[in-house]
Amino acid sequence: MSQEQYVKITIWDQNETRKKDVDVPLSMKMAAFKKASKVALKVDAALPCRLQLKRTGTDMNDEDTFQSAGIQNNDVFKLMTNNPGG
Amino acid sequence: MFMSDDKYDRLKRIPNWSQEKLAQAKVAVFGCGALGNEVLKNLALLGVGNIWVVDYDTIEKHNLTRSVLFRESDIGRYKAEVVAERVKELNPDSQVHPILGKLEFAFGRGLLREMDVAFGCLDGIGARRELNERCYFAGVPWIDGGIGHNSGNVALFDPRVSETACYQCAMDNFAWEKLNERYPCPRGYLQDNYEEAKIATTIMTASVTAAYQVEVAVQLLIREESYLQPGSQLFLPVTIPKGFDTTKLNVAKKCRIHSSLLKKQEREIHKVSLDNTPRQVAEKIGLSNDWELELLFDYVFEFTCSCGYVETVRKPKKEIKESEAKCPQCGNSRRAAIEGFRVTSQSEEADCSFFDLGLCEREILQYVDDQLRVDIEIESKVQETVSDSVANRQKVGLPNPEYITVTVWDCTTNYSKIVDVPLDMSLGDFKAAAKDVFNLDAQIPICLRLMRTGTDVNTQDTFQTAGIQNNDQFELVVCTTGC
Repeated sequence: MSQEQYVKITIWDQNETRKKDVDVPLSMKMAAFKKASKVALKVDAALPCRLQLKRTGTDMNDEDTFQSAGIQNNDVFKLMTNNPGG
Repeated sequence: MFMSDDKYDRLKRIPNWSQEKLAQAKVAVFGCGALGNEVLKNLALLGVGNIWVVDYDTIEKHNLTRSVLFRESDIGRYKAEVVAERVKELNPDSQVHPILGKLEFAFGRGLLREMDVAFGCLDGIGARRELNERCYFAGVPWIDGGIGHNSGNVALFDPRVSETACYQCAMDNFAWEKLNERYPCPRGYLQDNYEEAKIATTIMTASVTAAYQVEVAVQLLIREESYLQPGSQLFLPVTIPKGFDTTKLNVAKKCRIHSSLLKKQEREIHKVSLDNTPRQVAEKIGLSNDWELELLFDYVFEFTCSCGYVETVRKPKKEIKESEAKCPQCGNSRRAAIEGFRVTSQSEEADCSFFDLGLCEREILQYVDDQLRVDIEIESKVQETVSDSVANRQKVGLPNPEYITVTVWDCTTNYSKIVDVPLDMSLGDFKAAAKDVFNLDAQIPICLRLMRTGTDVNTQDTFQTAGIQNNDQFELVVCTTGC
């Protein structure tokens, strides 16, 4: 059985006041990572968020895994609040 | 010292500025809350010439801390009506058209096609998704704003640049879950007492976000492109001075909105009246007997219960509450519904007017038969009358003391009409006129309910003797008590 591969990444909150360095399995889906990041960065779970890959400036797709999204070691993410209020 | 008489002098000094383009522009602002207020204030000061404002809601006390155009005395009044008055005060050069109602039921896509830019100042995912779909149909760029208590967002979605993401492309699992909460399985009717979660917001986040929404719009109106790229979202931190950040949103390969872009080729559009029935129009256009009219939403046409009770409904499914699915005769909550998104030549609805099907002025629909696809646009004077009524009051400044202004809603509360009525008019005559306006069958027993008190009025009274006040609202209610 092949061993799970991991990638080392950094996740920041929107204001860049909190960050976490984590090892993430390549098979992990972005939706699960986004959910876990909200908890780790103490972001209100009820708020919608976007997950930006700093290297490309693009939003991550929930259904992508770290592998399918081409995430590399030392990549940096930012969790941004997608504010719903008007 | 030389003093300029030109109100727009300082703006005209900006390189490549075009005050004429702003004066000729047509824009629509959807939502008149904190963001909508700030957007409208900016549009008025800039001299944007033609503004439509759309909102179904009334002003509450908590709105006053974030809404520059509202006053304490406005509580209970329609937001769209109040902002229209205040924008006009700020800048009489701006023509403002208030539309009272939900965007999908009150602002036809024919009218939307005339807009240069639309603003999303909404507070729900469902309304944003609805506006996105309509703007993509109409080919109109829209600028979405969203606020919290410490940051805001601005995104530009432009159907003219179809290779870029639309709002629906960028909806994640969380957004879909929130949307589905509202219409729970198995039947998918609107949850009773459902309310969008209340979000903490401030005037600071509203001001910053709205300023950027309007900046993007001005760039689009004057230069026809903006520095914020279509399909991108701007993150605006407000409490922490961190600088703006932009994220490019991904196009979803299977996005239904994008796949429907091909349908929007220019075709002749037949103008028809709101009073017409689908059958009358099909005959006028010369369709074969096997025609279908595609509606904009899934509809519930009828509920039938095992107890034998049959109820004609003819409402968009998304407007039906779970409790409405319950049989009023036997209490069965699982009665069968006849649903669909088309009217065919065989269906009973072929002989209902477009108005009775809950469609609004300037809406565009499509007929299909075995050979043709024909677009129609519904025309009516109902909405014009609403706008004219407000505009006329603005011209004279204050209401005529012999008259008061009241609003009357139809039985579905999807449509309303603002009218100036003489104080000596009887409420019975008013009810009859309102039934006529909303095309209600004279035989249907209807009560006229004063929404301020929740009581049905005595039709023998006049507005004066019943103590009806300026800006009071009435609702036509199907009478169940035999009054």
